[in-house]
Amino acid sequence: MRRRIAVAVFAGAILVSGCSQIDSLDPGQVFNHFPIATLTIAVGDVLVAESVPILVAPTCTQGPTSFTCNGTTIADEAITVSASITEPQVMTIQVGAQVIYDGSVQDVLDAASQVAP
Amino acid sequence: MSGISRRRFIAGATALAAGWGLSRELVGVALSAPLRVVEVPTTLSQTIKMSSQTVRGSYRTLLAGPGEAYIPRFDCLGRAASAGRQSTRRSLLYLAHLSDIHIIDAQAPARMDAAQELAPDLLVDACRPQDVLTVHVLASMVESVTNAQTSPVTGAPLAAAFSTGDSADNMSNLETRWYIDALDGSTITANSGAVGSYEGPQVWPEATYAYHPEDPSGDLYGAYGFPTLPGMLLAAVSAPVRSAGLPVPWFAVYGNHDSTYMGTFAPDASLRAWAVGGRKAATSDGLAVAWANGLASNASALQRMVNSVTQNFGLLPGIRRVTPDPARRLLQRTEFMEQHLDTPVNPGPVGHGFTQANVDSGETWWALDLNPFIRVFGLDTCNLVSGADGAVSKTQFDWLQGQLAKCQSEGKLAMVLSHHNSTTLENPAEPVFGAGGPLIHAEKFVAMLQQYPACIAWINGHTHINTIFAHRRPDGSGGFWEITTASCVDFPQQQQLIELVDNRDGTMSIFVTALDHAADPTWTTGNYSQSGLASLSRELAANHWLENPAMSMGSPLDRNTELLLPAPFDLSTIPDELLEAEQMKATARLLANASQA
Repeated sequence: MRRRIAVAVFAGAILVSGCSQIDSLDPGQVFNHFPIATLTIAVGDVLVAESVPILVAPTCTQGPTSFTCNGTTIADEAITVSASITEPQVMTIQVGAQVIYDGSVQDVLDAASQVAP
Repeated sequence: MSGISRRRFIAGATALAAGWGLSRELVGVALSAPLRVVEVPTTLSQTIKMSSQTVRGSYRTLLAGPGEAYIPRFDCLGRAASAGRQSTRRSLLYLAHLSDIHIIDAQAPARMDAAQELAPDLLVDACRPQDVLTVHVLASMVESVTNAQTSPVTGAPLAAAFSTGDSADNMSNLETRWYIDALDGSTITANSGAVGSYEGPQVWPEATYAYHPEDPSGDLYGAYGFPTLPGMLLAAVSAPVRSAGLPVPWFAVYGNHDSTYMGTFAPDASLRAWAVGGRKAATSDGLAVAWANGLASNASALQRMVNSVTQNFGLLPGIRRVTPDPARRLLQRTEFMEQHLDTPVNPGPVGHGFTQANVDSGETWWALDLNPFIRVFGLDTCNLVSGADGAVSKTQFDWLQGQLAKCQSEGKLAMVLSHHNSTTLENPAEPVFGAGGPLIHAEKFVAMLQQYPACIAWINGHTHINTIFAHRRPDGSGGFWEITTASCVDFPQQQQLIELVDNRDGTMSIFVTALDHAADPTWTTGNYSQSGLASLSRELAANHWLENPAMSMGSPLDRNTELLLPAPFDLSTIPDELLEAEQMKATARLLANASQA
């Protein structure tokens, strides 16, 4: 019994500890276990891969039902991103009226971090 | 040298040659050559990426990838920049930025390795597969910075380096010493406790939460596809690691792991005793009971006696006996600064930003002029009450505001250094009793920096993710750039080169270059040399799936970038002659360092 209590107390203590990415796991900004930074990074990956001329890089915020990101191009077109809070982890990126990506966030991150042998 | 007169050049070169003990001819030739851009090994020419094919289970090796050119970012400028700036720009300062080095004494008893058993997907950094290899990585990063000692943008000489905290992993004397000695230049055997032996969870079968290089078949990592590496642990803790030391003066600030236990709270007497003792938890059960007993030991002499008996007779399950080592002691608050004062003159400066006055007063922040026109402020954003995230004390906030106002009126560019960044400067924990004053959090802090155009950059770490934010002023008249680097411990094990450039068209640029450490991108099986182990560390980190390593690289907008902003004042007031004199000093220092090497 004493050990169970110790484990419970200890577990509680360590759940408030940590560092690195865990620090930014603000429960209000978690994107399927990832911080909102994950979404911002994936958006940046897509915009650069698609050679979008960026004036203001999108910054992302969380609304009641979705994440949204807003930026602008050099030509003053709006860059807009919407991403669902719930599964699956998908996002839609639009430049002006054109959708340039609609799909998985993690797929973008994986593709950007990998190279073929 | 175009701005400086011949007479001043000769006098300067002669003085620098004498000061550094170099031949006048050597210095004269080096200093008279115009700045020249040569290709230095950075991510501009080669990146390191994961293979798109797995080799065992989900495990991937790393491969060299194509280089990444600079991407201009105009967020703070509010318009596209003139294409002609490339031919008119001049370097104001070239720097290296290190952060989150996280030197780990992996065998230390007072670590929370076993906590990973409780929540492996949450406590991802309690027991990393590459924990024993952090000194090897730092030595490799020092080599990389040295290789990049001339700017890839302008050819300017490297002038200084910064370490923005979490240099040690657990406020340990040994970890702190290893990090300082590696940056100053030394030979380090990354071992504690028993000589020539690894004692810790990576060889204990019951520690199934840890990676067991000798035989991972019984742990989580083996199931993922991590390799069997016979002899790796022994090589890591036995072979001395040689670090040449940084070639330039370097400056440090506190990180939460430098000032609190596991980066989270101030240790009590029982934790301090545990750190130098001979018992280490192998399982979460053992860790929890040891923890509870440790807490209880503060209250009762009887409890302390019971703890001592049960521990010494091996009656606590999940606890292993290890060789105690007094060098593992946890540092007191000001001892971190004192350790920086116990350093050689070169690369210097003694104290690395901290002074005896800091130790005496307990003030853990500092200011310094890197040259006559750039001032840097090193903050302490760590919260000693609880929590890994940070805040700025009111005392420090007021001090910084006064200093930035001064920079503005004196026509100096200002850069702010801290460990925490704007997404992690939200720690509300204040001491219930005692001084400290109210805490300032990100929104108010950023708004204050935005008031002073002289403040061009806030440089930090903490999240282990390459990130660049533009903090534009609400009226669109500029702002400042926040530059966060990845870490040395987690993938991609990258740091940064930063150069301030005057475009001579009313704008300035901050060039950021992501820097991999010098070890080969692809680890060769069985290579347990110093650089081989650094290469292996990066590969293991890339496969630490609990961290989602794919995201820590950031996007290209967070790596090799040219960050533009309006010049905060007429930069032509900085004479070429003065810049060239500063570059002469830096070049002579690099020459002296090379000749000593």
